[in-house]
Amino acid sequence: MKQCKYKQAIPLLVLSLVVLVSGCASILPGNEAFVVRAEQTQQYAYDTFDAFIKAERSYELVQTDPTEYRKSAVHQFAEKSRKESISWINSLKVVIRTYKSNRNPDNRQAVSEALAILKVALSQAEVYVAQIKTTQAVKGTN
Amino acid sequence: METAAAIQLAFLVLNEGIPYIEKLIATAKQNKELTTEQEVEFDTKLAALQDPATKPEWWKTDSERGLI
Repeated sequence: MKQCKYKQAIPLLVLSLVVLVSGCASILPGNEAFVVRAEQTQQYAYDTFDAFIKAERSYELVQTDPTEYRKSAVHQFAEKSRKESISWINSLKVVIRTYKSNRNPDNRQAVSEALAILKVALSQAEVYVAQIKTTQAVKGTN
Repeated sequence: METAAAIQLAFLVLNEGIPYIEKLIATAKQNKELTTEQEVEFDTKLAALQDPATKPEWWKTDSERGLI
C-alpha cells in the first residue's frame, strides 16, 4: 500500500518539475516571448487532446453499457474534440505564422483570440479527464 | 478528495509514462520560435491525425468506427 502511495506521488513530482522547467525557460535573444508561448500552447494542446481522447477511449472500453455511455457529455465532448481539435490547433497555427511574417497589432490580436478559444477547449478537456478518472476510482475500474 | 482526483488525473494524463513527460519538458524548455523545419514537422503530425490511414484508433470517431 505504501509503495502505491509513492507511485502516486511520482507524477505530481514530475509535473512540478515540468512547471519549474517551464518557469525557468528564458527566451533567446531575437525571439519574441509572445510567439514562443503561443507555439508552446499549440504543442501543449496537441499533446493534451491526444491524452484526453486516448483516456476517453480507454474509459469507453470498460463501460458496461457503451451505447448508453456514448450519450454522455464527456463522450460527446470527446467526439467533438476528435472532429474539431485539429482545426482549433490549425487555426492557432495559421495566425501565429501570419503574425511571424507580419508582426503588426492586428495579427497579434488574432493570435490572442485563437489562444483564448483554444484555452477554453483545453480547460473543458482537463475537466472531463478529471471526471473520467474520478468515476473510475468510484467504480473501482482503471 | 480533490488531491486524490488530481493524482489520478496526473496518472491518466501521464499514461504514456516517460515519453509523455519528455514531450511536456521539451515543450516547456522551448526558448525560441519554431524554425521552418519544426513548423513542417508539426504540420506533418497534425496531418497524420486527419488521414484515416495514419490516424490512431483512439482518434477515430463513432461514425468512422461504424457505430452510428
